[in-house]
Amino acid sequence: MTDTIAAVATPPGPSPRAILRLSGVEAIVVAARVFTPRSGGPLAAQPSFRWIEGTVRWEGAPGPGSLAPAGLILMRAPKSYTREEMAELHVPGNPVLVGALYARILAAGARSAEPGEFTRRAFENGRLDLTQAEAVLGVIDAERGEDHRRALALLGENRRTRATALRESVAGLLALLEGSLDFAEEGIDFFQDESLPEQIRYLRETLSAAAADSQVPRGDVAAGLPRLFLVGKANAGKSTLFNSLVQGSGALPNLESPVAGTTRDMIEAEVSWPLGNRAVAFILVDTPGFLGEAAACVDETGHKLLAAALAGRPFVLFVADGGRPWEKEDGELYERCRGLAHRVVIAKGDLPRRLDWVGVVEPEAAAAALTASARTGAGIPELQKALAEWMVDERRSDPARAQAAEGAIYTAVGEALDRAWEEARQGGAPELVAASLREAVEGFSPLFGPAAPEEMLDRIFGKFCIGK
Amino acid sequence: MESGSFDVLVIGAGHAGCEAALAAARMGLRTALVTGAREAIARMSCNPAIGGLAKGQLVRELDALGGAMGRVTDDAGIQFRLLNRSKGPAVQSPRAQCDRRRYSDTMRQIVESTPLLEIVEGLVGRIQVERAEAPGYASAAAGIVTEDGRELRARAIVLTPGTFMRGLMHVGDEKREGGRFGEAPARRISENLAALGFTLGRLKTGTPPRLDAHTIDFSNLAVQPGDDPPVPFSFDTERIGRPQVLCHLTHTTHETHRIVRENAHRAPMFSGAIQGTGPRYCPSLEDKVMRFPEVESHRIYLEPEGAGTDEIYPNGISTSIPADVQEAFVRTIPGLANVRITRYGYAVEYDFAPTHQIHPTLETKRVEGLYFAGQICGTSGYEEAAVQGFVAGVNAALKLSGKDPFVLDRSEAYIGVLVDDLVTKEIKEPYRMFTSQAEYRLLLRQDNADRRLRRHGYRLGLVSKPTYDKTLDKERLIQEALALLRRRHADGVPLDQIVRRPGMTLAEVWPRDLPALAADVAQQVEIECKYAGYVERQAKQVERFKEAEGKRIPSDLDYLAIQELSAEARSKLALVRPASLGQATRLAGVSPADIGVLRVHLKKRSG
Repeated sequence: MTDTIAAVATPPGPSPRAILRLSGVEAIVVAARVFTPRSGGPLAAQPSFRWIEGTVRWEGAPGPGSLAPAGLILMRAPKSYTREEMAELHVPGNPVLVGALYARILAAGARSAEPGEFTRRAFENGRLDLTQAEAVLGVIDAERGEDHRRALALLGENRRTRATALRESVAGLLALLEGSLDFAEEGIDFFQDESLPEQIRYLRETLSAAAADSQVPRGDVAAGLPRLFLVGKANAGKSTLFNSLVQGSGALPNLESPVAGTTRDMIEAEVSWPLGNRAVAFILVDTPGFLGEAAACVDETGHKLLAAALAGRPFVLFVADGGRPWEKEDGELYERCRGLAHRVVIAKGDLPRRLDWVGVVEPEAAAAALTASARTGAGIPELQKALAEWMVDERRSDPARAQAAEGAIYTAVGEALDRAWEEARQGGAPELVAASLREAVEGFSPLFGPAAPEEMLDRIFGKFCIGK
Repeated sequence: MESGSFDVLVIGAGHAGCEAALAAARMGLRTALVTGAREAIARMSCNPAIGGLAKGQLVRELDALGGAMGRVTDDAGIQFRLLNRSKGPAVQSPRAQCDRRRYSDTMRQIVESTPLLEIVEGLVGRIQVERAEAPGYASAAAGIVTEDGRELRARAIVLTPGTFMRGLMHVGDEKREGGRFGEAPARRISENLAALGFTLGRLKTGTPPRLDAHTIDFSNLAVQPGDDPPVPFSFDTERIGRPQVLCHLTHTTHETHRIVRENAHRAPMFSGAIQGTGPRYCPSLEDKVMRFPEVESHRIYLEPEGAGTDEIYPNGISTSIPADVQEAFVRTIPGLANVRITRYGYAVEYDFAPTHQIHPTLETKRVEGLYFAGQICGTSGYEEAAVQGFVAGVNAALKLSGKDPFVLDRSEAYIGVLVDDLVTKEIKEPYRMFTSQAEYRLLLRQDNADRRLRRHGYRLGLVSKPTYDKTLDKERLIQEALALLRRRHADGVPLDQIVRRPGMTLAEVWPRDLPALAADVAQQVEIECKYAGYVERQAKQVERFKEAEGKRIPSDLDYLAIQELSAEARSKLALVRPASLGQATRLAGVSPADIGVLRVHLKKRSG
């Protein structure tokens, strides 16, 4: 059994629902610290694979804690995706709520998942077989795109400068504290002991101001692959295309929880397709809930759900029926996708072409449109390749992810500074204050990478004349 | 001419060599300690002090494992101080000023009286190797030939040459070959190692001039007394019997800085005569003056070299500036107006072997049975050298006996941190231990070294049964007391949580109806209460650390064939060839994604 990891499994930004996922020996214990079942009684007594209604307590940026409705699914080892204890928390997709809740989960004993770690654990625990190793490597590699240097570069100059200055202040204070511990005999006044609580409080306030000002969605930068939504009218061939894409090489088992009634509004599959000597991973989402068969597709609820999902600005693959002319429903749905990052595919490519969309679809999308037939398989490999290339490009330059990294920093660093301040204020031993300040410095790693062990010594030697 | 056959040869009888030889012999192996001169055993080349921040932890750990340094320090110590008393226990360290002569003599007596251990006087000319049987090695150690042609055979060799490999001493523009004042360098070993396929680098260190105590005016200098009563280093020492002495404190002046500044161009550091890299934490006075012009004065500790000697070690003015400048600047220091220099300060450059070439057992990756310890591994300091000597000696003995190696990890000991740093990091300056290098600092305290490590010493046969039993008893009493504190309440609050409050002591809380705890037990109980929460947090981090540490990487893994690794990670991994996934995580340039890739490949291999 291994330690417990957590990630926000849905992309940053507003959406109808966000999912936070936990895996590891304490997954259920940690979940119980943030989630209260409506039925009462301990969470651990609840059965696996059932939708558990309840509430989460969270602390928003301003004001006291509040409650939010939530649902939870427990998946006990070994019958889970990772073969470890797992918990999946479903909450309204409000970025502030998600960020605060994620921070609470980390404070409650989980740690941020590393690139591709859920999938990797599934592989290491034998849930995926050896033939899927390449696909797993693809997932890891795709999430490597979240590399901190790229995130920092994408942040924009003002925010980058501010984050850099904040890290500098926290690391600078820790260096002084470490200096006073390791070089006590040097006769150097690193700082006035009495001023320590005040200095930490000042850092905390600066950080809070930056966090409030940034108003970025908070969450885990390493979490979640990009999502590509298949959107199209009923009978356009969307679901058949989805199945044919997913059943192709490199698809991993469906990540979605197998509970009827909870996720029926979307069907997802994590796919990993080769591109050159690498692989690209992302999540393909079919949307049958909005646009199921027959009349249900255009009911009001369906449209509302679709609107909410698209409000998260996902990637969209618009599916048009090659065997039918451009219809009113196509137009209505396409209007929703206009302005989003989208591509178009002409499905049912084996039928005689009757589609005519001149002037309707954006010229760029029309030019890049591909034709595919799920029935004959023609055009499917080309479509996979095109989608993979698109996802690589998009993923590498998504500023929303950089902003999510910034948000994660403000949450994690803030918590650690709170602990440091509490210890210092009570006159606790300096090495204990240092322990929390170290965690604060580590909290900057989504943008700055892990702190090099030599960093503190370098800072001390650079600034002070040490050595007898 | 064959003049002896042994199991283990230890070359060099400094602080590393002595611990290596003692450990190997006490583990039952016929051991020879090869030294230029019997009198040079355990010589303190630099300042006559053992311990200090983080170094004190190393010595306490070595003592718990059955090493000799702590006991010898207790015997030779003339001033003991526990540093950082005003801070918490994790950053407190013992330090002792020693009688240089006595330290050397005591260690020599221990070495001479240890069964299976023979002292061989001679200088090593070359290491002899034969074809390696085990895969992965280019050759295997077979013995040595001394400069005067004697052959000593052994299947394990611990090489501890200190600063002697192509040692070059500088005083101003005067250069002299030698590893230490008045001693010849080891000229041939470097060529020998290069011929065996090792890469060598160059480092530098320095010492201050030594002063005649009779010519110092102590009357106006601040006195620095030791602790009363002195706290011993060794867990087995009851009390310190030797009379204690005072140290004095003085400082550099404007005039000192002016003289140094005006003559800095004559210092080999600045004239370009020295190529080796010196330590930033132990800069020469010329370095301090030139790099920190805004600092008006630097502290100098005047440390006696012994109870019976008249030599003073002025700690803080290490220099290699020309002799006439040394004469001039020391006299500008308060108390030293009429001082007589007994020996000039000098810098010494020497060869070392960059440590990607050694395993965590300190065995070299190229030559089976050849171990490196001490300054050859790029470290500085007696304590750093001693613990490496111990690790090398123990592992040489274990390997010859067909047993599993002894490797402490970063969560178990400073010794583990040091060795791990050596095998995973690039040495850019002489490596010294600092507490900030230990990520589990709150757990690795000098006060609990016995609780952490005695069992290893016992298992290795280096700690006696009665001594080990004492540790077990102590542990039991600690656990009982902690359980009791958790059970009992005052005003509805468990007692252990009351002890946790800042300013509160265990003595104030301990129930009066119960017998008082022994001092060493009470100390541990109080610290455990104070650190509660933090210790749990660190313990959790340790758990995760251990998982990665336990994942061994096969030594034949072809990193260059793993496409998914970043280019930087691929070349770094191929160079270092880490023993475990944990070690891989600590290599510069290896990201969490690279580690994920490695995990998948390891799983693929194991099926």
